[in-house]
Formats: sequence, structure tokens, C-alpha cells
Amino acid sequence: MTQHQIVLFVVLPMAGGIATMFLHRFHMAQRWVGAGFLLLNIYFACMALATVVPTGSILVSQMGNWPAPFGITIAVDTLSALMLTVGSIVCFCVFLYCVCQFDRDQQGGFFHPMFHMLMLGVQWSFITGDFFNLFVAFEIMLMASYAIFCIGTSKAQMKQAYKYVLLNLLGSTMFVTCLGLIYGQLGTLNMADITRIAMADQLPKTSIPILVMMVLVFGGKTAIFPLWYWLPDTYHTLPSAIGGLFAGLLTKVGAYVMIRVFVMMLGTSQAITEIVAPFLLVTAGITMFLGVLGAVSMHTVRRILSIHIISQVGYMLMGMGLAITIGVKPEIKELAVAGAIFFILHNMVVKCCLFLCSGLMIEHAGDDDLGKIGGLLKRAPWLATLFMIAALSLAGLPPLSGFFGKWVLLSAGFRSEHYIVVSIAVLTSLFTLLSMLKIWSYGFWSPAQGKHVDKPQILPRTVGGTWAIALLVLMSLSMGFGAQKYYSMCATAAKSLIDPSAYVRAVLGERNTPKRVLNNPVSHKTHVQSAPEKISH
Amino acid sequence: MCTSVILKVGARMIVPLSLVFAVFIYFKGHQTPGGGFVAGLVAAVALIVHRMSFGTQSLRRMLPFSERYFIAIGLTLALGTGFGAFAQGLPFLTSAHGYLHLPTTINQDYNFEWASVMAFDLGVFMVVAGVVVGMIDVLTKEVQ
Repeated sequence: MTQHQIVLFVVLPMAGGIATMFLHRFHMAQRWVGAGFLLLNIYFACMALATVVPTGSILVSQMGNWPAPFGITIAVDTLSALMLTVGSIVCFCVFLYCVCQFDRDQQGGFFHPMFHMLMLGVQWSFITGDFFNLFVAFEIMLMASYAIFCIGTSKAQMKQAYKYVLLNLLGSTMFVTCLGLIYGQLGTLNMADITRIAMADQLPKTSIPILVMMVLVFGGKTAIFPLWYWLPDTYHTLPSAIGGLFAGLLTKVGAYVMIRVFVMMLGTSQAITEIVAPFLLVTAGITMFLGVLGAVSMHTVRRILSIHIISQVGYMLMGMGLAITIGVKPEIKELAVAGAIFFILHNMVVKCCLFLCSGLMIEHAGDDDLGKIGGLLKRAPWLATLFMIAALSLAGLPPLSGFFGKWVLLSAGFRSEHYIVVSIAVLTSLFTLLSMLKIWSYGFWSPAQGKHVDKPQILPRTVGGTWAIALLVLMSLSMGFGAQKYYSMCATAAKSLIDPSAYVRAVLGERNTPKRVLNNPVSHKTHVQSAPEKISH
Repeated sequence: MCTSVILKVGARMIVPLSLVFAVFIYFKGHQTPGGGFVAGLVAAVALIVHRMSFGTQSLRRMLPFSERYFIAIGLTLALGTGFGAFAQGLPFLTSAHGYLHLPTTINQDYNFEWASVMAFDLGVFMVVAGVVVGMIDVLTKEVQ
């Protein structure tokens, strides 16, 4: 994959969106074209991964050929490539499920264009190297998610959609205000440029509170401890497939951005890490523990899974927190970030998979209240098997993917002597297993009951959905059995995040001097001189 | 829908004038304030005034296709512009520009500066016009 081709991750979903918009009257064509674009997307994501991983190189493309701190940069490093690959596979599986499972009303209107636009927003936030652009990508993602939220609406869903829109608008307002203030303070919004300033320890004192405020912005999106209240109420009202998409991708975009901002961009600045790191570690502990307690107390499958998202976010925060704690050795920092990345990837797949399973459980039993259903093991043995693998993987049993992510995180915690958060993490795992076994024993193992018990066993609608789940489980298994391979990729990514000088050099060129670029005579004379006047209108 | 005679007579003048003005703003926008977004809004206002005075059916007859396709076509144009540079191995959205001598009578050596960004801007124009007309359409349907 060549440098400029990385823009395809924006172009392809957008083209998919446009194509399905033109075809919005033709249901079959919409599906096939959409599937084609998503598969192409997976192909390019794998290509990018294959290019980036062996050498740890970074693909950079400057939009419109404007040089870096002035124009918009997009960059794919190992972390981005990993997120793109897993994200596009998850997205394809959800698409497969939606196409097979949703009836015409739910797929009608502009569901397909919105699906692709959501994908556009997600992938764009994975590859952008510009802070303001990140905001734009977030907005696209949110707009599309608002629209998808309202498809096939029930009354409860509309009520929650209202909450969701309002809270996200608040988050976006805070985000764009922060960006304005940062631009005022630093004179740049290019991520590499801010990294450079942080590395040279030149962040002005006044910019520190603003940068710290970013925790709230992204924390709200990721659903960390004091800001998670919107999530458990919203996600369980959604159709399961959409819930899976949101759980698998949207909250993880928040986690990705937190890694990018607090580990890579600001991780080298001591003034910021000494505030953020303790906060992240404390929040991590509280988030994972309260989240899992909530999950154990719930009695509906989708509610359990929704609250579980929060608990899992805690592990990612733990990795980030360890990675920027002052006084931790660099190799342990790398271990912590690699663990967090591995965990995010694993969680994207497994969480989405469990949500899809809950959808099929509803299809088979007519409800997802654990008191009203049962006997699914006999009725849908394949679903039961797949659910069991995914659930045990979420809880973190050894040969499965969840174990390795947690193990790396825990060993990083032990080696940096953060025993409290480590013990909370272990306890949380136990409770996770408990809540998953609760779904298993009530939903699958108990005597048969539920609305649809006497209907035929194989419903034609569920076949495609089962395949989608099987693909995700396969992905999760490959992450478990090929953990070494995945982990080494995560370690490459972590290395370049802990020491971001390669990223800065790749984006800004060799002009990476400690002085501020804006006051510097720059080598790209022709472009730079024309850039400010062109931008001004 | 009740419309007054004054509005109907006024609309006959307002609509063409606003549409021409939208085109003017669109061309002006390359070097001076203006551009596809504002022009799209102005054009949308013209179309909405037409709709207010002559009704939805008349607007449907006037437009070559549904306003939703405006959005899709606009997006295609915008994406296509970026893709042109990409196909030549340049970064996405790299702009090409040049000068075109126009035989105008007032200023003999007037050179019109064209840029590939104009196609992008036309896309923005269409998207904005399509979105605004479509939104007003949906909202008034809700009210009625």
C-alpha cells in the first residue's frame, strides 16, 4: 500500500454511502453493493496492516498537498492499522447480521447510507492526524448514529435517543471549545505538532487545564466512571445488531482516541501526566468494579451486556493510566499500552459478538428477560456454543482472547507495583464470569420456556445471523490461539506510542526542531507561503 | 395551503433573482467571501419561496429530480474532485488551477481563474441546497 492510498479508508465508506443513497429504492442492490464496499475495505485494511507492521513504518498523506502543520494530515501507524482491520471486520459482520435479520422497515429509508457513513466517521477518526478533523469525524459518526438510533423506533428507544443526542451534543460542544482554546494557546491543532511541543516540554502553563479537560470529553464518549450514566440506559433499547455496532465500535473509538491523545501526544509532558495518570488509574478501578456489579445485578441479557461495556472500559483505562504514570520503566509502559490495545481489539470483537447473540436469543425465545426464557441450549445448539465461547472469552479464560489482554495488563500492573488496581481487576474478572454464567444458566441451561418454544427449531432468518456470529467467534479464537502474533503487533504499536518521535518525524518531516514551526522559515517554500492566504477564505 | 397573491407575484421576481444571485456568489467565492455553501443556502431560499407560494407539486415539477438525489450527486462531485488528484498519484484533494481568457467587452485582458476546487464547491452547493430543501419539506409535512 502506498502512502496516498490510505485516504481510501475515508473514500471507500463514503463511496459506499453515496452508492447506496442512489440505490435507496432497490433493496437487493443496496445490500450487495454495500457488502462489496465493506469487503474492499477489509482488504485495504489488511494491506495497510501488512505494510505497516513489519517495519513499524508510518504512512502519511497530506490532504490537498498542504504541508503538515497547516493542512490536514492523515496518518496510519500500527495502532491505526490494527484498529482499522478489526473495526472493518466487525463492521462487516454486523452488516451481514443486519441484512439477514432486519425486516424491510428497519432496513428501509436510509439505513444503508447511514451505516456506511457511520463507518466513514469511525475509520476517519482512526486515521486522522489533526485534532479539528477528529472533531469532524466524531460529528459524522454521531450524526449517522443518531439516524441509525431512530430506525425501527419504539417509544422507549426514542426517549433514550433524546438523552443520547443531548449528551453527545454537550460533549461535542465541550470538545470544540477545548479545540478553540488549544488552538489559541499552541497555534496548531496538528497532532504531531502538539506531540512535538509536548516532547520539547514547551506547553504553556495555561494550556494544561484545557488539555486535561479533554479527559472529560473523551471520557464521556468512552463511558468512564463519573460520565457513564448515559450508556446503560441507551444501548439496551437498541435493536441488538445496532447495539453491537455501537458497543463494538463507538465506545472503542473513544478509547482509541484516549490512547492517541494521552499516551502519544501528551504522555511525554510531565505536567499533564501527573494530573491525568492518577485520575485514570482511580477511575479505571471504580469503572470496572461498579460496571461489573451493575452487570451482576441486572436480569436482562441486553442490559447485562450494556453495563458490561463500562466495566471493560476500565481495563483499557488501567493500561493507559499505567503507561503514563511517572516513574514506571519504559518497558513496563510499553507492556501496559500493548495490553490496552490488545484488550480494545479483543473487546471490539467479543462485545459485538455477544450483542449479536442476544439478538438471536430474542429471535428464538421472544424476549431477553432471563426470567422468561430458557432451554435455548436444546433449541439452538450452535448459538449456545458460540455464545459460550464468546462469554468465556469476555471473562478471560485461558486459551481465549480475553485472557491474554488481561494477563498483559495485570503483569504490567504487578511489575509497576500498582497492587490495588490489579486486585480490583482480578476480582472484576470473577464477577464477569459470574454474570456470563448467569446468562448461560438462565437462558440456555434452564428448562425450556418462552413465547416461541413450540415453533420450528431452525428459523431461516437466524441462519445468516449465526454465520455473522460464527465469523466473530472465529476472529476471537484466532486472537486467542495466535495471541503471540497479535501481541507482537500490539507491542510494535505500543513502542511507537511511548516514543512518538518517529510519528512526529513522519508527519512534520525533518524540520522537527524544538522551535515553534509557525515562527520558523520552512523548507517547503512554495506551498507554505501560499498556504495561509489560501486557507483564509 | 393558502398563499396570498402578493407572495405569488413577488415569488416570480424573487425566485429567478435569487437563483442568479446564488450562481454569482458561487463564482465569486473562489477568491472573495462567498462559495458553494452560501450559494447553496441562497438557492435553497429561492426554492423554498417557490414552494411557499406555488406548493410542493410545483416545486417537484421544477426540479429535475428529488432533492435527495441532489445530496447524493453533490457528494459524488465532491468525492470525485478529490479522487481526480488521487488517480494521478498526488495526495487526495490536491487542487489544480489555471487561467482562462474570456472575451469580455469591458475588460479586455480579464483572465478567469479556474480551479478544480470549483467542482468540489459545486458539490457543496448541491448538498446544501438539497439538505435544506429536504429538511424544510419534512418539517412542514410534520406541521401540516
